[in-house]
Amino acid sequence: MDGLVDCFAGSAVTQEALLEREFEQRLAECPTLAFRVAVSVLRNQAEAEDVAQEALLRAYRGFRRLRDRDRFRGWLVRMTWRLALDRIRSITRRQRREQVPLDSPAPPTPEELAKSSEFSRRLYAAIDSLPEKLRITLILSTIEGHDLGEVGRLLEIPTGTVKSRLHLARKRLAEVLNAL
Amino acid sequence: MRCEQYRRLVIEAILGELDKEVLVQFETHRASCEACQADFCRVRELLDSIDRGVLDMLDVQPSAKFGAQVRHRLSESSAEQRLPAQLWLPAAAGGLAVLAVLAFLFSFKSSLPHTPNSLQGSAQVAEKQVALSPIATAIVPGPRASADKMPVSQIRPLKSKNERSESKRSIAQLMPVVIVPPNEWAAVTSLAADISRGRVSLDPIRVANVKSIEPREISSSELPVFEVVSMDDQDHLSDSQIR
Repeated sequence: MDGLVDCFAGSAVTQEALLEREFEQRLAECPTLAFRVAVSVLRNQAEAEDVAQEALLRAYRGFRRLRDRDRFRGWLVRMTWRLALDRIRSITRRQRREQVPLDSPAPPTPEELAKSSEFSRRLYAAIDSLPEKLRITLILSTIEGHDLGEVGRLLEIPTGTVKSRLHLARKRLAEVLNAL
Repeated sequence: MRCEQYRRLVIEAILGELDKEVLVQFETHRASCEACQADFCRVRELLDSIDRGVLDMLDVQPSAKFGAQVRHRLSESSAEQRLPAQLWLPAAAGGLAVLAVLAFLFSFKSSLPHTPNSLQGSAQVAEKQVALSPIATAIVPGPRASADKMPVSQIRPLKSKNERSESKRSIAQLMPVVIVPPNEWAAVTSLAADISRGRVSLDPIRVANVKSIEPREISSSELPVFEVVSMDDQDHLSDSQIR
């Protein structure tokens, strides 16, 4: 009976260990990706780190349910994006309740202060006003160094669609900022 | 081309969207108008600034502690996930040992001639066990003789009160009954699923949403064939949990 139990224990533990190892491998370069996706929405380091951690934790918990493991990065990106949007909405609601100015979710760091020029403020507002599809395409294509094929894989859309969305996003930003 | 028309087209021209014919007109006007030439340069700079601005926005590194925090949260979650497994393995071992003993006793008892009194006594004990169990709301019975041929999908939750009381009577006749505590049911399901998938060589096992186990009979390999029946959550009975 002990042998039998060891056999059960062995198979269960081995399966878990394999799963964890696979997750570790896929995770290697993902924390920064998740963080950058989150920061593109939240523009606050602490909040972005928290959201990225939450997304990674969910990815870890749901990893065994992911059928096609090659889609892990795209899955993580979309999950982080959604979590970040949820977080920004909740911050906005909280700020409305507390009547805090909307553009100061937390005290900015010196780096954030340095970047908070008037142009950046306008640019961020213009990015926020983009339709979600254009926005995430623009963000991911910047993160991925304009590797449109990789962006297509992450978003599960054809490269041509990525290209046209990116083009449209830049055009809209230029139109908005040119009009100001 | 006039200046007004030119300005409407300047972004498209820089992004390379203009038709050849329109582009020629555009370029002709740009060469002849200083203001529009300046405007062209300004918009091109604006597009560069946009690209740089987006890049700057994302050129943020997570803090030094970020990696460690991620590891910490993942290991916490990992420990939470492993904890039940660590608990259930000894519990499952114990459960199997108990089942083996009970099945042996059961088969020994079955080989003796039946007396109405002993059957009634067993029934009372079983009823008591079911009644004492805080998770026992209903039991899924199966015909004893055909239990080991019954597909999993036929093990179904009980809906009506009549069915439930009927099932209690049935279970009472299928002594002994082992009640599995709620915190061990996932473990037992997983173990049972491994058996049913043939990962371990035991005789077939019937699994529903597990809350109790009934040993049915001794298999040819001297290991118990048992049916795992739901004592709770009948409405959530799901085969997917064991596949």
